[in-house]
Amino acid sequence: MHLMITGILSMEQSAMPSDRCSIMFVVAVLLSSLLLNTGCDLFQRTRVDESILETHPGFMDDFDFWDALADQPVVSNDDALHSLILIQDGTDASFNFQARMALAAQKGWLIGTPTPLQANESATVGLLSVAACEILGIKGGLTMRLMGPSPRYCTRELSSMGMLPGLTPNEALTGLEFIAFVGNIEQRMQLQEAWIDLEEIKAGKNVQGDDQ
Amino acid sequence: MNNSRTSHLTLHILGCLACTMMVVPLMAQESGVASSDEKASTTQVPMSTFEFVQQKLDDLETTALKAVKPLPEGESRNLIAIVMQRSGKAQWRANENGTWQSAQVDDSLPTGAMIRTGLKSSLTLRVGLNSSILIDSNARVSLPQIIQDGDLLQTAVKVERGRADVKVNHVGLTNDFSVVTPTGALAVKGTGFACRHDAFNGTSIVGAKTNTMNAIEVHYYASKLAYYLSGGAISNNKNENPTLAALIEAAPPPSANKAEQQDAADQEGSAGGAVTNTDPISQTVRVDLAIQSQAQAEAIIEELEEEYDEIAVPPTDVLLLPGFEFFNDIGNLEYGSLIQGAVAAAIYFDMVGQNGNLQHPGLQLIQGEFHSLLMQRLNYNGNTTAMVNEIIAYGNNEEQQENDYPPNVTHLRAILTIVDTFCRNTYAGDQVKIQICRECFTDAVVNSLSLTDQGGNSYFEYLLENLEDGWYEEIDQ
Repeated sequence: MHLMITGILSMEQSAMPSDRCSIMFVVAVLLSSLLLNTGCDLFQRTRVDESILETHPGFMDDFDFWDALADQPVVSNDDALHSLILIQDGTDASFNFQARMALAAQKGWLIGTPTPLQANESATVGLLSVAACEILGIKGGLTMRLMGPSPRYCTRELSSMGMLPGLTPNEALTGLEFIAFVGNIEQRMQLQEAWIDLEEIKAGKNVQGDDQ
Repeated sequence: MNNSRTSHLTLHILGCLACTMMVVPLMAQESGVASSDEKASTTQVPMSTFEFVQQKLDDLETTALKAVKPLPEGESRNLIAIVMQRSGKAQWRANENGTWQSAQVDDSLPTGAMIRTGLKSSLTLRVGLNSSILIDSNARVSLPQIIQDGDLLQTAVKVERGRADVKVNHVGLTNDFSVVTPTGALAVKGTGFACRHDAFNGTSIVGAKTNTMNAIEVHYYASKLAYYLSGGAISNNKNENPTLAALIEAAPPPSANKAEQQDAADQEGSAGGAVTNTDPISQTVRVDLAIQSQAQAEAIIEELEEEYDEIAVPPTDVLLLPGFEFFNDIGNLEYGSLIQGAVAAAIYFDMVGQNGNLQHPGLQLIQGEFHSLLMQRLNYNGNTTAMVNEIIAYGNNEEQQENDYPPNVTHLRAILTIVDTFCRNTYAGDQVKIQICRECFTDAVVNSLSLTDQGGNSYFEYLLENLEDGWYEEIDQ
């Protein structure tokens, strides 16, 4: 502690950049070691005791699942992946979280997210954004097209599209926020289907016009 | 052997029961819907004639108007919501303690019902007499209030989360429609919008999916074929009525496809012409009572029967009839009977006008005002001359006989009876219009003579000068 105070004092006195960097490094190391020694993990996410599916396995396809989700203070990975699978496939045949995670990986939803995930850990906005971009086929801007979908750019893309408020990839959503997000995905899906129909009608008209 | 016979008998009984359960509701539904149309359905009229369509339209109007009648003041009744369309998964329960059940088309939802929809699902309801609601996917909505109170339709829809598209029609009664969300309440006067509530944006208002709702409504009505309409008949001014207008309003515009129009024209005169046309307005459309379920239809018929039973009892005093209360009230003033007589005399003198031998001839203002109000409130195009002549004839007779002088409440009763007879004959069987007709006459008298508790205008006094000297001054003092 004495060293840290001395360092700070010396930083205020010193105008040399090299001195300032070394002092900052020492402070960071000391702070990290202090936090680790007290058992506090900087990167630990919020956890729920049990996901809804663990508590109520019978809620798999039911309205009760969504009602229970609305009451959740935070959405777990298990419940989030189950919901996203329901949106895309209409039904979730996965019998446990491991199967659900495997399916999500297969669909490309876990790109950029450290795995393995914990079932009762809060789902990151980044993971949800990547999944949404994959479900909706959003290609994004230049960086996303060059580097592929990533939590950072998918989140920014969805924010710019108005599907997410200004959130960062590491944040979590409450149950009601997640339901609103699901609603936005569904609305976007309907819009895209309507666009496809419109294109088909236009194409049909053109063919008809050509025939005439 | 005995066992096989018993099982055969059991099967037979079960079969009969099943048949009864299948057929009886169908019969009940048919009888409930087509009760007012019984005469028409038995009459063999060529289906393609204009008269036939006109007759069907009249039947529809009669049935629809029955459903939107205002209740007597102070009376109220609970209305219901009917499921018109379901897509995907949707459930409802009667109240918080009820059991969730899958929503089916034609389900009747009572006041206080709660509704929930699943992913990629929607549910469309006809709520009460004047509104439709399209509940979008993954929404939670409840209907805490669907009431008709007198001439007021009070509806409240609570959107707990998700989106609900609302469309409120004008059906001739006063709309009091509100949408409640966890963060506020909105009032709808007679329009359409969509209300969405979510955790990101709170409550937001967006444009309603009007075309989708219109298509669902028309599909629902068209699925219940009983009345045959044609576009020409609907556009007839004679059949203007608010419920029908709401129904027509709900339909999308007629097809602009020339091929379809040509097909329809080719089918003119054929029995199926009206049915095969794809124009939704020209399609065959059935509206069951108030576009509600069989249960409510029966309730309405029951209420109407009770109402008619009450009407069948002859009123003891014409002054007590709804619409004539003013004339009864002035009888409670000091010199009440004399004032009532003065009013009767003034009505007579005004109507006689220049045609009599009066010292102070009237200007026939009451008749003009009465006719004008009838036009305005009931779209009445006929004339009132016969009624006026009858009043004049009565007055002349009384004047000649001079047996009951000065004029009193008896004379007023006689005049009002003539007016009441006119209203009953003109709007036979329609108690609401009869009452409005009486109110028109009362207002015509009050407006023309500026009658208040304090007396009338100078024209009233001028008319009363036709009476013997000093009679009116007695009241005036």
